[in-house]
Amino acid sequence: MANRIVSVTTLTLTAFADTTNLTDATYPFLLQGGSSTQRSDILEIYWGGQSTSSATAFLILSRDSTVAATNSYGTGQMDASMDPSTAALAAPALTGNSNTTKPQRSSTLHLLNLSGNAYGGVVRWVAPPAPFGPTVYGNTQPLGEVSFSCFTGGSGIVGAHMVYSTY
Amino acid sequence: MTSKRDHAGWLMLDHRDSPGFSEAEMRKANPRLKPTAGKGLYETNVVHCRHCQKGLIVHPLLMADLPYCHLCDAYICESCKVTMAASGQHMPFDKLADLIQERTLKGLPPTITLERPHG
Repeated sequence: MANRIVSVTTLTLTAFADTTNLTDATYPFLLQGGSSTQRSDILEIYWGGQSTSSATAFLILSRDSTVAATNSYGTGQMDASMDPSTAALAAPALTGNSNTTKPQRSSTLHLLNLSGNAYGGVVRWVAPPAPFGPTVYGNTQPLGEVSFSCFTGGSGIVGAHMVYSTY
Repeated sequence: MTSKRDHAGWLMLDHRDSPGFSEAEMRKANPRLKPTAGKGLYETNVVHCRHCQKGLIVHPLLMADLPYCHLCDAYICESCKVTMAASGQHMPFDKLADLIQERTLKGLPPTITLERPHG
């Protein structure tokens, strides 16, 4: 088991409707299983608003109906282990927000609505103890990927992180 | 003594240093939260459906009002409750994951999707 944090220092959100391509570096992050049988628990999501005027950030954690391919990190985005002694996984879970095949948010499988005002607002969600929280299972849709992205009508500049545990 | 409240997560909206949301904006942003949740500090429990894992916002004192699956001994969402009653099938998330994993290991596409519990 490995607890890790994917984070982005600052990011200008772009709003996307469900089942449309999430374009590169316009949403905080996604999490995809590293193999067809890997499981990851999502433990915490935090975002803090960095806008200089009111902006309604409609941030949604959702399963993806199209999973990303060839994933990489955008500017200011990183994935780090929580424990310095963490051994490298043979098949690490994939995080990032830049891809060749773009992910698409499912229209029916939104898991959490973490909306807030990106002008100074802070939103934090902490998962219930396992196994009662959301998980990513495998690496294909519908269970193999979740994304954290801004829904239609939203905007803003945010910094964010997500804690997850892969095993 | 354990309680089902121990199975809840936690959500915090902190707009103490922010204009936050008006009641109308809050209804648009997240109709599950109370309209005044967009002002100041707001904290609430979040329970996840054992069948589809959707987050369910619930007042800590009103958790008993949530739909309940006696086979899972856990709370589920309205949609999964209706689907279970209509189809007669019990499909918790772990069972769904097992079915998908089994097909994946056999090299077959996952024909079962999470859309199924929601009809």
